[in-house]
Amino acid sequence: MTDLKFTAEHEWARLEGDVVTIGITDYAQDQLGELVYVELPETGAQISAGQEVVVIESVKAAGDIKSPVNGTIIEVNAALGDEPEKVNEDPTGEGWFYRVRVESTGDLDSLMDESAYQDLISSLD
Amino acid sequence: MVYRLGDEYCLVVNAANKDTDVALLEKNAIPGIGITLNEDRALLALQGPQAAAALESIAPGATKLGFMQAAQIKVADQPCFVTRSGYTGEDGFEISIDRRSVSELASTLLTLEGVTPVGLGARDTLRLEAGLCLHGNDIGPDTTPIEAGLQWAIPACRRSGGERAGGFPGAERILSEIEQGASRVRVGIRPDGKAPVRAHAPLLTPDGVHVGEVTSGGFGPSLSAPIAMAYVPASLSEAGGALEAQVRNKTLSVTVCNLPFVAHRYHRKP
Repeated sequence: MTDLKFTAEHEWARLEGDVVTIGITDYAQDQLGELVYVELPETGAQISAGQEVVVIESVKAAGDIKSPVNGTIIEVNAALGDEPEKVNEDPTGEGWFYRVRVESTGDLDSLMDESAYQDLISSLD
Repeated sequence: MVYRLGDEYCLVVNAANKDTDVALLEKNAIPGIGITLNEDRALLALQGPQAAAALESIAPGATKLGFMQAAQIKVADQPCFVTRSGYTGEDGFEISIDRRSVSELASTLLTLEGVTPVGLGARDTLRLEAGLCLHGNDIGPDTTPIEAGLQWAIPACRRSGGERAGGFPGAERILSEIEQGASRVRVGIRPDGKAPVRAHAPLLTPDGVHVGEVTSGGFGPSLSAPIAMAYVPASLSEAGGALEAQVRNKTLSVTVCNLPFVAHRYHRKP
């Protein structure tokens, strides 16, 4: 999991070339409880950092996922429409949300690495 | 909840309303009736199909109670006031005990086979599936029992023509609604898709006219589908009617349905 970067809002980002894949962390899915609905953005949409692009609903609550990067959505994980529970089962794998082609990979520089994120969630428990 | 205990009554009131309720009782009590506010009691709810078997092991006799019956019973050797009631739509018990002993009793209950602690979220899911009202959401100072579908709470003797008709808060409007029907009523709502529709979502007709609002909503695990309750005009309250809910600037199709979503499984005595 060392190739992942993290936000303080418990999202992860994986950079491959100029494409960033976004999802939520295991900690986040555990806090939310069983997911029942994921609303994904449109492919082709231009998004900016801080913009709400995904809505997730669990048995407990609804929440927004803000994009950590600027760019163009090139793919969304349509399988979550029928199987939102994949986010609970495999948050950093099959439970990914969307892929963005970024304008600058520098957008990820401000995100946390794994050890900084682990420190963050330890401080929350 | 109101219990008749010989020549006394015991009321368990909504905690958020206790000041209003006590003031109302004191203002309206007839001479000779004393009112005591008892704040040294705590209430535990043991709910579900296995509740009776679990409780019987430490409170022999508890399972002789039928739904909405009450008795002074020892639970784990502690004197308790046990009622076969709850707010989950399932069989279950509410156990009133001296607050100083409640932690110990809770710990004892948790040692029993099949007993596990659940939070308010789980209770809220169950009461929504059972079509039960949450005060502050589905009922409050602005709703009547007739709008809410709680006509059963007004006995025949207090209705028009009854021997003690009227004379209670809201009587004029409530008695009129019993005769003529309420203009809006509480209904069940089934969103057609998978997205939950939660409290305060506006409801529209398919041609865009605002007709009501969702008062409780979430995901019903027993149905593996989103469920909600709302007030709509009586003319739109028939099961099967198509409406639309506004959620995050999107319009979702929903269907009016009867309540409850999950049949009650109370232990009623024949």
